[in-house]
Amino acid sequence: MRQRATTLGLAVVLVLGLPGTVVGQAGTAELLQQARQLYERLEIERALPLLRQVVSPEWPLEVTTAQRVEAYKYLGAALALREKRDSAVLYFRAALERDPFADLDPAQFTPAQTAAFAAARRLTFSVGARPISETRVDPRTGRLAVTVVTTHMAALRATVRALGGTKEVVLYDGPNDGVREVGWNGLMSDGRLAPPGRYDLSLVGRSQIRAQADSLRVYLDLRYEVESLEDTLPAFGPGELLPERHSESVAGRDLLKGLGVALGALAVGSLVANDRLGTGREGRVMAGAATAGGVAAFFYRRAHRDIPQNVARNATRRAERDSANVSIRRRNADRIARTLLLITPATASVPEP
Amino acid sequence: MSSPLRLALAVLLLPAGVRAQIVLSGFVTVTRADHRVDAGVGVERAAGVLVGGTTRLRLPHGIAFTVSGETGHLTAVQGTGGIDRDVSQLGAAVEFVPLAWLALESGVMVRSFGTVVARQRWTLVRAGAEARIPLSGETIWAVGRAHLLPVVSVNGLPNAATAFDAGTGLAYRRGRLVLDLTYTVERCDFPWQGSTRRSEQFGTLMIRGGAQILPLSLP
Repeated sequence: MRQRATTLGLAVVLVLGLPGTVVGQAGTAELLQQARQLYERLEIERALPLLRQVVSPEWPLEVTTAQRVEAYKYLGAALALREKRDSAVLYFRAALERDPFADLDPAQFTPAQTAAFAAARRLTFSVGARPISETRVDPRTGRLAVTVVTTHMAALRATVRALGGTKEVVLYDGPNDGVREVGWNGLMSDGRLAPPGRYDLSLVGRSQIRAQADSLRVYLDLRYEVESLEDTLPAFGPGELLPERHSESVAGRDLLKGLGVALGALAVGSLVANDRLGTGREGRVMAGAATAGGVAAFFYRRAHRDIPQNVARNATRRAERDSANVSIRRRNADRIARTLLLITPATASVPEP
Repeated sequence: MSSPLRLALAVLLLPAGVRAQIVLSGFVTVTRADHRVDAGVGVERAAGVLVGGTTRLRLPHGIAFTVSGETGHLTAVQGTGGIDRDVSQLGAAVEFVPLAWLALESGVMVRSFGTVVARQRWTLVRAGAEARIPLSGETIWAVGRAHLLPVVSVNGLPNAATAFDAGTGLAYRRGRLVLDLTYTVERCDFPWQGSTRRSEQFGTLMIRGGAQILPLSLP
């Protein structure tokens, strides 16, 4: 009774003096520390009430899962020392149900305790996975490593699937007893890079000792870390290329130019020449040739509207653009090939009912 | 080492980019010439054909040099009182192309009229412009030109008071080949001497055909 009052007093002091959560965890930790010290001094009778306090629903302070598992382990170990094996096994099972990774160090616990823990393992079936920290994965060389566990011999299947998707990647499918590391290189079953999004890592275990099954889902967010990509050069818009055909009016203009030359020749003869001296037939010959040239140009232009020089220059520009785009696409492909996957936990592990 | 050889070596030693912009062309000219003179006693006419050649060296920055020469015999037109004459002329000109369609020209020409009675030597300095606009794509061009002749010196005569020339023509270019047809009238009015004023006019209809010699690759 005095012990209970002391611990409650300690709890009250801590609650009044520190912020809520920290106070709760610190108070629970203090109590667990005290219980462990009593256990290690083999003062089992004094340690047991403290440990029971921690796991009691009436304990007013916050208790983390790790603290609760620790309390169950020491309760089981203490009861095993008092040769209450069944009770010990029950507490060990409680520890394993909350943390499948829970274990007893043979160097610190007696063979009877570890035997009771092993018995609890055989009676309890659960699967677990260690929390996944933010990981960068190079799909070519690295992989996401996930540590999973079954409390005893089981058939274990670990898969990854995009949330809402149907294709899954099997990371492991086989027998398992204890801790195992499974890995994912970020590729889907078809060998392609997993697209960015949310994924669930599913663990399904079926006990090979008992008719029990357990499953677990861990949600992951996957993002790409890729160097920024270059934009390809856009297609040439209207007005960016040289005209490749003459307009209808060009033929007429050519005719006018020819007639202009003809008029010029006549003008040279009549306006430039000295009136007294006059001119010969050369001007008229030139005018006739220019008229013929203009008419020839008119018909030639109507029949040949293409502008070969412009067609060639445009083709060169298009080829240069296409070549530049090929280079850009190659550089982008190289960058995409060097894509890293950034995998972060989306939420905590969600045990399935 | 001769000058042409030195020039050729200098061209060969130029960087390839500059060398590609140097264009050397050679032409043969056949000209129908009509020479008219009025010295106060009526119009004397002589006409005939001149044959000659032109070499043109185009340098970077739109600069070109032209050297030309022609010679031939003009026959007096019956009933005009003229006499036959031999004509020879040698000219040099420099050209600057500020715009693709416009060339500014300046040059000097030495011309000789030789008759059975005398030889008359002319020196003409001209400055003007030539416009070329495409008539049919980049193949046929319409040509118009005009020059002032500020100096026209003739032995035995005072310098011309007013002199100019004007002409039009067509130019055809395909690859390395060039063919021109040009009509030009050159008019020189000399100062009044008493009650008479001497006027001379040299009209030509010239066919010029040639080819680009250098560079070997087309520009």
